[in-house]
Amino acid sequence: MSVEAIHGEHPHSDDPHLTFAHHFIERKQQDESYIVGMWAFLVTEIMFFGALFIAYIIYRTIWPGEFAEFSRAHLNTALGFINTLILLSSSLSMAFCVRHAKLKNHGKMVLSMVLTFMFACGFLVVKTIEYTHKYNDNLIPGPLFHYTAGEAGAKGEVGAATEKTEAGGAEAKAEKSMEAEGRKFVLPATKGQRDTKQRHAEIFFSLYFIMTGIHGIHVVIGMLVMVIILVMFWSGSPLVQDFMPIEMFGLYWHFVDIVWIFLYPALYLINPDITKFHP
Amino acid sequence: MSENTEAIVHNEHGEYHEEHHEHHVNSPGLLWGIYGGLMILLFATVGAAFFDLHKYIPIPGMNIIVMLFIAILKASLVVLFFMEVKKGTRLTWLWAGAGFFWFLMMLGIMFDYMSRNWVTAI
Repeated sequence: MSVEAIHGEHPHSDDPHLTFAHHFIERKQQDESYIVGMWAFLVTEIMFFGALFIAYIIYRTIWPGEFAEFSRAHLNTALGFINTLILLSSSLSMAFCVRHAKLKNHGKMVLSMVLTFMFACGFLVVKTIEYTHKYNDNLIPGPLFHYTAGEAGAKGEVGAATEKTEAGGAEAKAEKSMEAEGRKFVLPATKGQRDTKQRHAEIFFSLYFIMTGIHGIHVVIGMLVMVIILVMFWSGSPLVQDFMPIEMFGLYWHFVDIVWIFLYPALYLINPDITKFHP
Repeated sequence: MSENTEAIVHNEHGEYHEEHHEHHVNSPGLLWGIYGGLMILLFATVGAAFFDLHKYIPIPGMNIIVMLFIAILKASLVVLFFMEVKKGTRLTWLWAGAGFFWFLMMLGIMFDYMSRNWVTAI
């Protein structure tokens, strides 16, 4: 019995939205396989980012007051807000891109994808501004790392509760000498050379850079995929005539957006008042 | 099909195919509506960060509880509508749920670990 006889339909129709591979019973089954495969990948991504969030929760539970101070002193809530706005908007344009792909409005589909790409560029520009500030403030974890309280810490509202835990004496001297040396290269601090608060700050900024950095890499990968899809579309590749590859990419892009939805309150919006209840 | 959705029925040779060839498409009204909801929730998140919610509800860490709750609402809107899980098949629900369930399990293990007091300040 031929394939057509079983299915009662040609697996390779003129309409790319109806075409399906020979090992599928029908188009619907192929669509479901695509979606489930993509979700299986996204589950691994949830595991990946989930582990980072768990690490963050553990350290924030240990030093809630200090984390609030570090965040208030050096993370810009407004820039984080702009980036959240940009990513949510890019999700909307991506959802429209999928809609137009399904309706075969290819002109609008390309326009929506280019718009999504522009939003992604905007996100990276803001991220670059933020990372530059961190670099200038010596907040890149490593030998040059040196935390200074900044504006919020200077008010003394938050820092007071945590100052007791700071080590005095030799550690304070080492800190002063580092301050005098400015950006000059110093050997990585061994245990005891750098005071406790410095090490706590270094862990906070390590988590910050790992979490936002890996999220940023996801954004860059998304942008590369968008370029590939657009080039394939413009060169008339049959692979992107079907809407499913675009829908799959949409799922990935929305996932990247969801990660940022959680990163924003976790890193940027730590209310300093929590120190009153978790000294 | 609900009023919020449209169906494309592929019309070849002037005839409609069977129902299983319909692809679910989100209407512009629904997409803008979800975006509006996300914007409101975004402002709610930022608002929650600048008020001492502990004054009104005396639970430790009330602010982060509220902010994470709002974040979960936002993520749910994105997953259900933008990622079209709401109109997805049962297998899609199973996989989307698996990711959520896995994260809950990991949180459970974390709480168990922390309750044993093995995590201490360095």
